[in-house]
Amino acid sequence: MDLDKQGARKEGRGGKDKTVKDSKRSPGPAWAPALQQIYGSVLDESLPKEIQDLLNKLDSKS
Amino acid sequence: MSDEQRTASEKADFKRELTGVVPHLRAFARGLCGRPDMADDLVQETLLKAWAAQDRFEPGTSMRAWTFVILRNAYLTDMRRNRFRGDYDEGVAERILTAPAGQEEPIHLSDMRRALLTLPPERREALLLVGAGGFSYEEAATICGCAVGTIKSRVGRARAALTAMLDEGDVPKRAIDDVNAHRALLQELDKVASGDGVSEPTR
Repeated sequence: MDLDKQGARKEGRGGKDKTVKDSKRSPGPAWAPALQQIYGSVLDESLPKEIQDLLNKLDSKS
Repeated sequence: MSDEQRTASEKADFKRELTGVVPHLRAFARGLCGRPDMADDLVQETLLKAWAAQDRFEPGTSMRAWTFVILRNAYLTDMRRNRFRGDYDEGVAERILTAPAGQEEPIHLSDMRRALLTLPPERREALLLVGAGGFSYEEAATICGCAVGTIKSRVGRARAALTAMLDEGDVPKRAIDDVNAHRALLQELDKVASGDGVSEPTR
């Protein structure tokens, strides 16, 4: 399955936000897993303190 | 919906959705700029802009797509501003190209990161959106403010370029003097400086 087709199925128009972290996919370009790993590794990171602090302060910015 | 009409509950819903997409914003931003610190600055800027514009977000639509448009436009604006200040070519370019890879990272990932950075920006973002972010062609086209066929073409060309680079071992070295990487960055600078590709936030 093409990466794009899988992406379309997972996200959908106006659908819930979902990640593409699962590894269930048919063979694509040899580098495709590396691309997804690079993207997915960021999803797995804890949010940095600066961003957490900013989120906490948003309510007072309205 | 005006800000005055938004209830506390609606604001809480917005904030919860916004918080939920932060990891995706970070991943997209890092793919665009290649540097974690620059990417997180961009994410913070995006969060502030999104919060200020929350009355323009339509509940029930994709928060991720909406915020990606904001982030992308902020990225282009920042790059243009840096270009005008004249401190991008030798400063940011060198930092991007000399950014250290993770010590434990498999070599193919560092190759992949460098190869991504050599792609023309419009192809790189199209590939990130469709190939990694899981957006459909239609959603990616909306985010980038272009036709679906254009996105398909960009993804196809990006895939072909990456395959050629990684299969043939023509991945740029991690140095500012690498001709391919430097040329790609300068081409990117010229493009963003021209003001191409700024799109309206989706609803």
